[in-house]
Amino acid sequence: MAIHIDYDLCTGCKRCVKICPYNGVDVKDGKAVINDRCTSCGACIDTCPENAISSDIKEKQIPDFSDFRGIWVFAEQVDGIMGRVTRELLGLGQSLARELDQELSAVLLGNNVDHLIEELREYGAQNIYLAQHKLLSSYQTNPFAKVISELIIENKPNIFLIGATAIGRDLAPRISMRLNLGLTADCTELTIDPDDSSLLQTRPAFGGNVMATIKTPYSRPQMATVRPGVMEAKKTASVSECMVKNMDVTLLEFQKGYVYILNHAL
Amino acid sequence: MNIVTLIKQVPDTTEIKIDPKTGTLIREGVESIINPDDRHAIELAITLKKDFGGKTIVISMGPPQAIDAISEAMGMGIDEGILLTDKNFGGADTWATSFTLGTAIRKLNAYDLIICGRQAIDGDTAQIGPQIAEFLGLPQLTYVRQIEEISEGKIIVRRALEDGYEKIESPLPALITVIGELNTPRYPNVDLLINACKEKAKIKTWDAADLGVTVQEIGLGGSLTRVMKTFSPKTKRVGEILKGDKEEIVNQLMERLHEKHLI
Repeated sequence: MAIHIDYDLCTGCKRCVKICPYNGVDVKDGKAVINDRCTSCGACIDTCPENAISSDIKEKQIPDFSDFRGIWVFAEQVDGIMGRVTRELLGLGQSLARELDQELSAVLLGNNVDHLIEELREYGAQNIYLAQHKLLSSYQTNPFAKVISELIIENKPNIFLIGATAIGRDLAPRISMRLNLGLTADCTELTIDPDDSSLLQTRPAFGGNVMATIKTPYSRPQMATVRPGVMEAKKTASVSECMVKNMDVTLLEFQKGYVYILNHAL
Repeated sequence: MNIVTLIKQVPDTTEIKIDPKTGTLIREGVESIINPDDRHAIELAITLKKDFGGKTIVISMGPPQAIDAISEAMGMGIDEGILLTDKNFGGADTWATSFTLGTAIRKLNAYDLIICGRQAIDGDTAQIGPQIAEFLGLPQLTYVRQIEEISEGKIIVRRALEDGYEKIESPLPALITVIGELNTPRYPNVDLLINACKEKAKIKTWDAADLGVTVQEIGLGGSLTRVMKTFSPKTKRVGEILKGDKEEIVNQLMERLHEKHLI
C-alpha cells in the first residue's frame, strides 16, 4: 500500500510534514513528497486541508454482519474474585447495549464460580455464558482462547470487550489471530458510529501523544481491550433475571499449555 | 539453541512534544531508535547464546531505513539479520504485521525460542507477540520479568502480573515477550557495529515475493482494523493545591487517588 500526493491539489502547507511521526514526507519546491521513511500509517491523509493525499488501497467490501448481535464482556476473575475491570466493562456495555438495542452478556470462565453470577447480574449482565472446568481454574492462554473462540463461533456476538489487564492483553490477541478478528488495544473511549452503528474505538498511541479512533469494519465480533480505571461501573436493578447458559467444556490435559509452579507471589 | 528476536524501529516517542499552537506533533529532532522493550529482547538472546551456543537472528519489518535497527542489534552481538521490507507491507495493523513476521519465521529451519519486546512505543498495543505465537501454534509467555531456568526443551519464567508475579514452566519452542525489568541492555560494540554496517550482505532483505504472501494478507489490505482519524489529546492540566495540616492533606490526597481509581 502506498501513499500518493496529488501535486495539482497540494499547496505545500506542510501540515502533513508536521503530523508525520516517521519523518516520511518533505516539502520540496512547494510540493509535498513522500520519502523512503514513510510507513503508510495514513496519519497524513486526514490532515491535508486540500484532500491531496490518498492511498492506493482498494477498499474491501464490508460483509453483511446483521446476524452478529449482542455485546459481550469477558468477566475476568482471579481465584473466584471478580476483577474491578469486569464491573467497569459491564457499565460501558450497558450503554452500548441500550444504544444498539442488543443484549449484554458476560463470558465467565473458571471452576466453582457460580457465586459470581449474582454480581454479574447486579452490574448489568442480561446473559452469562458460563464455562466451568478444572482446567479453567486459573487463567491460561490456550484453554481460555479455545473455549472463548468456540463460544464466539457458535453465538456470533457483535462486540466483545476485554479488560486491558495482564490477562486480557495476553488473551485478546490470541483470539484475534485464531478467529481473524480486528483487535484494538487499550481503548479509553468506545462509542457507536451514528452512520452505520459500528463501534468507534479510541485509544492512545505514541506514548499517549496521539489519540487514534479505529474501526474494525471487516470482521465480527468487533473486539477491543479496554483500559482499566476509565469506564464507570454501574449497579443496576434493571436485570431482573439473568439467563445463565452453562457451556459443555471439553478440555484435555495436553491442551493446558504451561505448568504453574507458583500461582501468585508478590 | 537457535533464537529469533523480533524488533521494531520506532520514533523516540519520549522526545515527542505537542506544538501548543497547532496541537500537532513536533517531530523535529526526534530520532529513530530500536524500540526500548526490544533492546531487552536482544540482550536476552545474546546472553542465552553465550550460555548455550547456537545462533541468534534478528528480524524486523519496516521501511528500508529500518536496516539501521538491525545493524545496531548485530552491533550488540546478534549473528544474523533479516529485514522484511516492501511497499506492500505498509499500513499494516498488528494482524497483518504478525502474519508477515510469522510467515518469515516459518521460513527459518528451526528455532527454540522467539523473543519479543512486550510492546512498541508507537503502537502501544502489545499484540504482536501473542498473535505470532498463535500463528505459529506456540505457547506464549508474556510480560516475562525474569528467566529462572532454561534448558533444551524447557523454560521457567516469572511472568509479571498487576500485583506480583506467577512462575510458570513451558516446553520449548515457545514465544516470550519481555519487559524492562528483565535485564540491562548492553551498548553496541564498536567493532561489531562497524562489521554489521560494512557487511550488509549478512543482513538479508525479504519482500512480499520472497515470503510468498499475497497483498490481501499483508499491509493495509490485510489489516482488519482501520484508523479513522488521529488527533492530539486535549490536555487539561489542572493543578490543585491541597490545604490543611499534614493529616488533612494526606486524607484529601487519598480521597482524590481513590476517586480517580489510581489506588
